[in-house]
Order: sequence, then structure tokens, then C-alpha cells
Amino acid sequence: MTDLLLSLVIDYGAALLFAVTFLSCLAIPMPSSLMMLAGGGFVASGDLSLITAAGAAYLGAVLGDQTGFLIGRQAGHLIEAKMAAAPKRAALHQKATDLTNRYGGPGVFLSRWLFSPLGPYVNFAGGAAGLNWARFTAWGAMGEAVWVVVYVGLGYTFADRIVELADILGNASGFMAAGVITIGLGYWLWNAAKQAKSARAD
Amino acid sequence: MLNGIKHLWRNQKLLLLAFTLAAVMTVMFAARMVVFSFYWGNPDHQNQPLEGWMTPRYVAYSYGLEPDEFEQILGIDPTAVSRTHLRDILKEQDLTLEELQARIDALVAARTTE
Repeated sequence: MTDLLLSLVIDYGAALLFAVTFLSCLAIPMPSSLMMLAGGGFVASGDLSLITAAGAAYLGAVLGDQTGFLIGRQAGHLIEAKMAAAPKRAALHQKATDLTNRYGGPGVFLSRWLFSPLGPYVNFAGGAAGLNWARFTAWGAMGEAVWVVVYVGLGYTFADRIVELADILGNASGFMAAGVITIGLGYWLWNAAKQAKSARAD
Repeated sequence: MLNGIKHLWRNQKLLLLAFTLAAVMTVMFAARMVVFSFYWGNPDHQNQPLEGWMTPRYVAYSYGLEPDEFEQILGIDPTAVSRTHLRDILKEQDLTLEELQARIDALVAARTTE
């Protein structure tokens, strides 16, 4: 499988990197880490050019984010229309929008590279919750730049060890994403338990 | 503590299950990280053997071979070909990966003993 994927990177180069990063931003499972590392490795060996390989990966990622955000926004409009009839729920949706706009930017940035498995879901959720488009785009574009520079850069630096690196990084990003979800859910549980306790004490 | 968990199980079943699942996955990824670091820490596993997908440039680069050294081995100047797979070249020359690997290993070994 790895053999086939690496052969494809050589055969289709930048066009493939564009397609892979674009689709991975829409929650379609893609071996984007391995392929970007490979792209960096083939830049080092002189088979691909740095500008086209990194540029295509970056462009695919940014356009993929925009597409995911727009899909989320469309779904958000449907939700808003349903909620407008119920003032209480509309207020709840407004609260979610405010909260997203307050903390959403850095969340979008970090979910591009540090917690990258969460990225596509942040695109959908950000769009649905009404995150400001300019804010989403600015933080997202910065985060994708970090993602592309880190992966293509590591592939370039450790060109003769790309398969090994893909194993290690894939695992590390899985660990980071699962870890941050565990902490978030743990915090939620903690609050639920505290509330239940004070309710019983009353 | 146990009462608290019982209470949560009754009232927040889904949340508790999701938390447990996420925690198990985190531990699993951590364990895999430990296994990988042992595996790749072993010098025997660090050299990437030749594979069919590799290109002449990539092989020359990762084994630190000069273009003329590579040309001696395979009769091809790696800087003259781009994005060609080793498997296609070997098929043309009726060679196997193992034979090419042996030639490269011999050259690298000769160089280190010099």
C-alpha cells in the first residue's frame, strides 16, 4: 500500500498533493501526512520542485477548509431557520455563535496542525456555528502554512526515512487529538458531576 | 467516587461512554508511540532498503552517492532522469532489486573502509 502511494506521488506530483490535502479537509480519509512527507523527500532528491509541491499542498488545504466551512455554513442556515421560531433555542444558538467567535480563531489554528485529525470537523462546526469568515480564513491560512511547512520540511530533512516518519507522526497526531478530546469530555463530566452533587445537597 | 460514577452512568451515560472511549484511544496511541520508538531506535531498522517506487535521484540522495558513482552501478545518470521508478529501470536491464542493493552495499562498504 505504501509502495503504491509513494509511486503515485512521483507519478502525479503536485496535482496529487493538491487533491489529497483538499479532500482531507473534508473529513475524507486520506494519507495526507505520508504524501506530504514524501513530497518533501522528493524535493530533496530533486524529483519535484519545492514551490509547486508545497504550493499545491497549501492551496489544496486552504481551498478544502473553505469548502468545509461553506458546507457547515449552509447547514447552519437551516438550523437557524428552524430555531428562529423558538426564542429560547434561538438564544442558545446565539450563545454558541458568540462563544465560537471568542475562542474559535486559535482553535482553528491549532486544529490545522497540532490536532490535525480534528481539522475537518472544526471546519464544519465553525461554519455551522457562525464563526466569522474572515477570522476563520486568517487563522486557518496561518495554521495550514505551519502544517505544510512542518510536514514537507520534515520530509525534506529526513528524506531517507519518510516511511518511518509517517508512522511516528501519524501516531503522534492521533495521540494529540484523542488526548484533547479526552480532556474536553473529562472537563464536561467533571462539571456534570459537580452540578449533580450541589443539586443533591440543596 | 463510586457513587459519583454510578450517578453519571444513570444520567450522563453517553458522555461517560464517550469519555471512556477517548481515554482508551489516547492510551492506545501512547502505547504505540512507545513501541515505535523502540522499533525505530534499533539501528537494524533504520536503513530504508531499496524499493520499486524509488527514483534514481532518490536512491542516490538517500545513500549519499555521487551521480557518477550511481552511473557506474546502474549505467544511468540520475540527474538526467526525473520521476522514473526503479522497478521500470530494473525491468529494462533485467536486474533485481536484490542485485542492485548488493552493488550499492558493496560500494558503500568499500568507501567506509577506505
